[in-house]
Amino acid sequence: MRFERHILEDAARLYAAYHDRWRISHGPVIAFERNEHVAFTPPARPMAQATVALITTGGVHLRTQPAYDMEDRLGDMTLRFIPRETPAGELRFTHDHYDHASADRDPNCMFPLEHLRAFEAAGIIGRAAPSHVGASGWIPQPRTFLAHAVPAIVERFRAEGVDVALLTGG
Amino acid sequence: MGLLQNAIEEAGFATASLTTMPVITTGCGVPRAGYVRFPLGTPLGEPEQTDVQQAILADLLHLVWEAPGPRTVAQFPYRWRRGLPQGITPVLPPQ
Repeated sequence: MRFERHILEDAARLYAAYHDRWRISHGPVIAFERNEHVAFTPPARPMAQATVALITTGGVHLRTQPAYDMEDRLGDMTLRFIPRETPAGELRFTHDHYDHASADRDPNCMFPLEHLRAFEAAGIIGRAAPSHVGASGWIPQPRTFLAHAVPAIVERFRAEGVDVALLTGG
Repeated sequence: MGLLQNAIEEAGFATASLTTMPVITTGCGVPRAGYVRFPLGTPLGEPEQTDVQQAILADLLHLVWEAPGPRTVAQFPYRWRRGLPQGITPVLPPQ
């Protein structure tokens, strides 16, 4: 087994180098983006009172929702809202850029909605949000994605009183 | 994911993400992230390992309340029990 050891202080250069490699493997469609300004919002209330939502770019969707289109070179930029009471057996993962065999077997590996409900029942968090968010992680033009995805997510989160969002990706 | 996370944070929500690729997460720059030394695709660990999955989720929640400021990347202490699948190249942090 081969291990790579990276110096995190050099992450900015390595992050750019990843993009160069992705352009070789995926073509010039890959746009280089990073957060020049990183935001920081303190949580609005204590954990035991907070409403928590999940967001995953691991390609989760309901069995009854359309799968993400993995054939589109520009990526499928649509969102899937997942209701909080969704049983794990109703979740599917469509994503060609990582091995989602573990998530297929147990969605909590990527999208821990069952655990979030358990944390609510145990009083660890205030409540699991009414809606959670699925997206495809293959987004080579992220600014285009953000322009429509962020307003849609923010509108839903505000309407449903979300305080905290936890993100996972593929 | 890091770009989306920052945009959601900027809109007024506190966020934390789980990453298996700390170089990408650190290079992109995010408000708060927990680094887990797991293969891509299983940020909460192995299937049916409920105890590990819930411990990681709890750690991620605590990170939301305890991170001192933006660009916090915390290394979580969990190990993949079965060994890494073939073909996976883990990215280790400096010692």
